[in-house]
Amino acid sequence: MRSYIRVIKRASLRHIGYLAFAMFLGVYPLIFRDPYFLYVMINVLLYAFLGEAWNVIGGYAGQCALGHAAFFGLGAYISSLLFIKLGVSPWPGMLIGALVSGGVSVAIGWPCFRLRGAYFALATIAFAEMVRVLFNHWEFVGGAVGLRLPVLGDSLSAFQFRSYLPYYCIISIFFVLSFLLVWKLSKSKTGFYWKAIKSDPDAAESLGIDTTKYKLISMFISSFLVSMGGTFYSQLVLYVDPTSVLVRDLSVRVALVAIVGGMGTIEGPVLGSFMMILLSSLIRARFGDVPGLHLVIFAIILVVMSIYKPQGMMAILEDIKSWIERRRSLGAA
Amino acid sequence: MPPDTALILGVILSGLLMGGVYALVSGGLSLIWGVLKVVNMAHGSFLMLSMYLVYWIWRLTGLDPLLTIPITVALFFLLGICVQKGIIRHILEASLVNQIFVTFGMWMLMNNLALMLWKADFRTVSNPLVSGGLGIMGVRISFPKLVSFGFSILATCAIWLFLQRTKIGIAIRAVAQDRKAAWLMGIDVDRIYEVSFGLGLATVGLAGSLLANFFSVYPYAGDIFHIFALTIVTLGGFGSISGSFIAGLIIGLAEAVSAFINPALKYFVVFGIFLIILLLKPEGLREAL
Repeated sequence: MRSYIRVIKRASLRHIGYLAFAMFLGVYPLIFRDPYFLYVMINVLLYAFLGEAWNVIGGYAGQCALGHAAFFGLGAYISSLLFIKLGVSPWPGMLIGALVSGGVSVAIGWPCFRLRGAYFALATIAFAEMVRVLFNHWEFVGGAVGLRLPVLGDSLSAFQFRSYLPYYCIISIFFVLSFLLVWKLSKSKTGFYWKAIKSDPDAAESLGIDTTKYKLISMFISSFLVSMGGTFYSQLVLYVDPTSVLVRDLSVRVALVAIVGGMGTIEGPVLGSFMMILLSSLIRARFGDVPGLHLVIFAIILVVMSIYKPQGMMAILEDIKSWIERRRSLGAA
Repeated sequence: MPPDTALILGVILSGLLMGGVYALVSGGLSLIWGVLKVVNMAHGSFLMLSMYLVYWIWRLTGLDPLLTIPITVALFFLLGICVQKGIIRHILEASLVNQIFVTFGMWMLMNNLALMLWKADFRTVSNPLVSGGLGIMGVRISFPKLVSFGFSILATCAIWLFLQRTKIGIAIRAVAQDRKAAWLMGIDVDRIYEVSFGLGLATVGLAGSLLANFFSVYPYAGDIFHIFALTIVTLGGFGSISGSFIAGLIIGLAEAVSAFINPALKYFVVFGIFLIILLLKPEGLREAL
């Protein structure tokens, strides 16, 4: 009985945390009216969203996908191209881009998932580099110069606004939806299959799990979401070029957020994104004249974290929690 | 010889010469991969660091890049041992994602440190000892590339002989085959790892001295070599020095020929080969050799 109460207590504590975070999201723009603060939070949420998406393939299904910049870029390019060349609103454009990205990811994943270990990671890198080179030299999509979206002022149908507030609302919704989706998935049968595949693919296969199918589902969801993030980004900056949306750095950053926060946990990417993006904004605001400093610090965090705490910040929080509990039980005794 | 044939021959030769340097860099990557079972994502960044080292030695003391070879090889061998002792040793048993991201972190660290310290400027060594080229019947061959090729071949052969003939070399191969069995036979596996990583980085040290002769030095200079090296190691089969040598020449040739047709094509072709090999024959050429 006691243990049941503890379980309920713990679960509700977690839910209270989620509610508090949702309230924080709602209140934030009312407190911080400065565009800069809004912009920083948009970035935090965008990366939390992307990290959540990477988590589906990297954290839950345990596949080291390192080419997510390709899907981010496809999302950004497809919606922008549809808008510029055909006048299609970026909203359906986003959906088309996400479906194309998902389709491409399945097409590339289907042969790649036969590959074990590092080979899968390498294949995703090679694929992303190919997409980058293709877009870099393809004149129809603007080549290395990229595409500039026409500025139309405030327009919901054109997915562009003068102030940051609507962007903030949109990315908040994206993020909350992705969070709920990943939460639901992690509790579903599919989520358990992913965990089984992650911990031992051979055992999972022998138990009758169609590992390729579930890896493909994970890849599809992951790239679908990342591609939506790409469209959002292109609408935020109204400019797309290969060096901003298709580079290897981006693939690493997307994964980094989830890894530092805690792979395979729903809260991990959020934690990681807050930590990394706030830190980088702080460093850039303070030492803006030193190029690459924030990335140097990211890299150090990544290396140290991967060696000493491979489960990320979430594991550190767990450690702190158990330490407090130990102290408390000692005090009670 | 008609000028067209001479031109094409020149392209092919130049590709093969570059392929030699690729083979050298890949040999190091392949050795690390084969022995430690860790894909070093920072291999290209070490190459970039070596190029900067050579550049700064030249800049500050006037020593020619080719004469820095003993310095870079020795320093990078030591650096490799330090990196192995300080970082890689801790992740040998970690999950693949962690291993990859530790080395990715090192890549990010070095590239951005270079950017921080030396800005994104392109730097070149002017008036190196060997420069220019010669023409034989209209076929132009660049001297720095020829010399680099020579050194690369020598170094690759030396590593190959070292692995085949010396006691440590045989121990390295034993560890690559079966870590545990080698350990049971009394091989000091940790030391073998250090030597392997040291040797792996010594190859990029040497490659840095060679490339600084005719390549611009900038913070991302190593990245493209890294992708090429990954392609070559995959093509040649990881852990196989002879495999990466032949694959290096193939990739060098493919790059030169496709760049001759259309400069934009060369990366596409190389990455395409990479992807196709991964999908069709991930074990590479190793078994064929």
